[in-house]
Amino acid sequence: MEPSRKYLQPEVLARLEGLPLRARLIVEGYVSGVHRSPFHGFSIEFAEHREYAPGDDIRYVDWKVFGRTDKFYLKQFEEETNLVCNLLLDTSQSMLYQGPGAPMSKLEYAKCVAAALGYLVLHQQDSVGLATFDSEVRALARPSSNPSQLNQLLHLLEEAAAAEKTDTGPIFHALAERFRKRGIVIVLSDLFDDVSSLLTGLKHFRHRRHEVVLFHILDPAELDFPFRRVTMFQGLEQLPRVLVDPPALRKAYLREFHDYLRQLKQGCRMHHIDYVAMRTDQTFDVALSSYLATRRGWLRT
Amino acid sequence: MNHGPALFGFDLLSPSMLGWLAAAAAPLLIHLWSRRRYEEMPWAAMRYLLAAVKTARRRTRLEQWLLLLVRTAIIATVVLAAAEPYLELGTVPFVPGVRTHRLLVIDGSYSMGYRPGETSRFEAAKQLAARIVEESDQGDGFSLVLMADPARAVVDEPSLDPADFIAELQALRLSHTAADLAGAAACAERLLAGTARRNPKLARQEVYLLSDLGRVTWDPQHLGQKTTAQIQRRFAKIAQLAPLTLIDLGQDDAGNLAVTSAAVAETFAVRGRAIEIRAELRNFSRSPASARVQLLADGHRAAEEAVRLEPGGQVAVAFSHRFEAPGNHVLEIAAPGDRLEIDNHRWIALAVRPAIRVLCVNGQPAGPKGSATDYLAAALAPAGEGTRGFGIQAEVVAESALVETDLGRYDCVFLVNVAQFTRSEGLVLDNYLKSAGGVVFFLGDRVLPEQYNQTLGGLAPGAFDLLPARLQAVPVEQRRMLNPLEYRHPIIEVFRGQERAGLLATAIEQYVPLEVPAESASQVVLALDDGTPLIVERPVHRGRVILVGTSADTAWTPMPLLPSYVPIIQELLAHAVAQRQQRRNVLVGESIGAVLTRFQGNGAISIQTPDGRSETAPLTVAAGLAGWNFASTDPSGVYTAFHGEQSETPEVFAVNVDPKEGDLAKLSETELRRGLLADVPFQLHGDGHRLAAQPESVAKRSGGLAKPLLYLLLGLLLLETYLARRFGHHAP
Repeated sequence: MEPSRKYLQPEVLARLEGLPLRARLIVEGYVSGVHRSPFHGFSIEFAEHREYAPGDDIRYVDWKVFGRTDKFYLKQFEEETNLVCNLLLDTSQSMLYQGPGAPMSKLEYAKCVAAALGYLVLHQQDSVGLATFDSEVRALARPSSNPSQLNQLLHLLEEAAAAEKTDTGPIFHALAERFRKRGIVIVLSDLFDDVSSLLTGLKHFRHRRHEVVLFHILDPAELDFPFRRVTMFQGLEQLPRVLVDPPALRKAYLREFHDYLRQLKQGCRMHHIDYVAMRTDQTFDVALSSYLATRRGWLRT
Repeated sequence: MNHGPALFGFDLLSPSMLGWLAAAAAPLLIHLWSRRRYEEMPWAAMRYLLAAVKTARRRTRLEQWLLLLVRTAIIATVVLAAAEPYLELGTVPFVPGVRTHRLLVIDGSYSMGYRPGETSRFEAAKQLAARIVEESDQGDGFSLVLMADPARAVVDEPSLDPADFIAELQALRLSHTAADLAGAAACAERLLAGTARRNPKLARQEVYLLSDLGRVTWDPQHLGQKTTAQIQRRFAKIAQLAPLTLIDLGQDDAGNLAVTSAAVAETFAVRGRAIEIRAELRNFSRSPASARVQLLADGHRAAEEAVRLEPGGQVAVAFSHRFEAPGNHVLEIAAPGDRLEIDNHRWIALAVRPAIRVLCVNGQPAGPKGSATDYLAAALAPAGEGTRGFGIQAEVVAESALVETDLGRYDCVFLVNVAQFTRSEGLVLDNYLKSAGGVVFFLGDRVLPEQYNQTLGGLAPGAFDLLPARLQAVPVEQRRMLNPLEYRHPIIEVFRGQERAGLLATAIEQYVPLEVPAESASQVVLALDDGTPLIVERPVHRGRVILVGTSADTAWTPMPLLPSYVPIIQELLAHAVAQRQQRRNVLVGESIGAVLTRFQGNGAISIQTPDGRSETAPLTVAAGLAGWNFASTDPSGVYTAFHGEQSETPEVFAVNVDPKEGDLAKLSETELRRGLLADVPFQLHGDGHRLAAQPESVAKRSGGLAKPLLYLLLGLLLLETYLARRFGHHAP
């Protein structure tokens, strides 16, 4: 493994302080692993030549230059883009949960993903905006492609603290009204909310012809329920306490949880929303790949 | 411990280990304790957890209790195994690894001969006993007690060879006696204590008592207070030494018809004279019964009569028979046909004589009123066939001839007005009485009362004690009438209601007052009106002595001239010789025997028993008399004694059962637990016959319960693992 790729591991990244550094390391780690640079688009306006490297798309080889010099050069274009990416980060209390096997909390993980995406988007000359929310919108940075936008995003992300409970449906409605320019909406949340209300909110984005990517961030413990000893679970977001013998209840819990996930995925599929399940012990490249795939799809439309 | 009639029982070798059963509560306590000690944790996906709790609460609780139950059962099984349980399969408790002494007590009373089906109770008891032995482990020891009367240890020292023991068991015969429960208990206690002392390797002892629980044997009302207390003490000791198991082979509805008595009315039988045979039958059932009662003379049917008996009723039958040939004869009363055959027969052994020979010893050959024996001889043998005295031959000899005469030829000796007796005469009389002779004394003016008392009354040192009463020194001359003492005595019972016979009109002019010693076996037959005994009788040795306080002639009383004289003399004779007949008719267990007056030399008597065995009885000689005695009179029936030198014709003896045992009413378990065995712990198997009839179930071997418990434990552990996995109580 290339040294830079290790920063895609949450447990490695968790040891590093500072979102800017984390964001850069994630993106660089990701970039080092892919053959084609995500930072260069292929629009009409020629920018420069670059020497061919194995793996590059031979469609973009400049045959004229080859004829002259016997060397392979790729034509590179200055991309003209008007893509707007809105990052919606859930900062409700449930996002603070960090299970016993997880390197970081869901919120931390989500911040890392958001920062990395911001970094990537801005380096692709696209616009990126950010909104943090719990029961209401807490902070909002309008989309911009200005390089200084990254600093603002990172600042907002670092400032974001968890409080209150999630209330996604009305918030998504409100934000959908605000995001006038069509673009990509990326939701980073554990989505512990009423599925139908949540889907209604997301549907509103789709109605406004946004591409929606749902990064469903979950703690491994929430997916596996690995507890052995009798435990008093204290509900976050104003839910009650309950004393449970986890082994006895594991099956029932998993059934309920997977039922919920099934409903959610089904709803996403129905409304053409990209659903990406993320565990907080999972590498970050999944998030970036998903974003880039969605972006390519968006550019073709 | 199970006391019910169940065929299967359960017991523990180490019951104290059961205290650890409290540990079975551990899973529950751990469960409760773990619910009190819990971790706290914030949880985000709470809504799904709450939903899971809601849907799974009932099922989870059920699963938890099921798991708790299985875990508790695991601990309980381990504790139970540590308590070393063993199972009683049918009859035998299997105690693994412990050598056991099993004492089998089998009821041998003849009520065990009852056949409720194909086999008798006794056979069923033997089968059960054999199975107990067969199903025991190698190294176990066995003893056997037969509870007959008397009870006896058949196998005394514990036998370690089952085959030998079973052979001994198979050879066991049913006794025709009652059951001696006290004796059996004493025997059992002695064997148990002896084994504990001498065979410490037989670490455990068990007692099995197989009986029909008949009231006659087990009911304190029949046993009496003293015997009951004695039996209770014995059983309490037995229960301390070994667990007691009773196997009941009796049936509640068992009925029985028995011939309870049979006797010849006459005390002696002579050729050609008809005798009357009286028998009684009793119905021991709760339903009416009928039977055909047969009289068999020497094995040939002589008469038959049909009888019908009410429940619990009794009926008397009478037959008449005449033997034309003298000799020893056997009469049998039979009422066959019910399920207990043994008491359907009674036998009478009868010596039919050509004549009854009476020797009259005359102490006053010639007096002013003639010979003292004239009236007597006439009264003994009145002329004419059909008269009461038919077949009696009276022979008169002088006083001096007593020593020389062979008394063995006579059935009875009358000693009339004999002045005194020498020691040798006393010895002759004593020997005669030993051979069951009858002696009658009549007094008179020549009698020296003091000398009588000295020589025959046992007053002088070394003298014979033959007289039933003391004679007062001086005869009394005073007219007295007779007091029949309510005709109680059999001798004068014939006068009851026969006032015209003139007994009460008979005066006694002179008499020697008789004095009956206190606590003697003497009975006053007839007294004077002032209460002075006039006729006294006593059994002496095997014979009988009758003493009449007045004269046999008219010297002291006008009685010989009155109609009452002949009957009195006849009855005196009959009573005096009755002993001879009685000696031939005994109950099972009583000894038979005879004194051989003419025997010279040594030898033995050969005895043919009713079951075809041939036994010998040794001859013993004492005081110049040879005699034999045979005590093993079991079973009932006719015993025949042969002795070549004595006579050509063998002697016959009738041995009959005690009819009491024919009552088959049995004790219930409750009565037993409240009565005789009130304070004795015991286990009762209620249906011994069913137990005996079970084909193979009892024979199923088991090495204790350790192995089954191990399998159970394994099963429970597997079940626990499966359930825990299924319910999610395991590491993922």
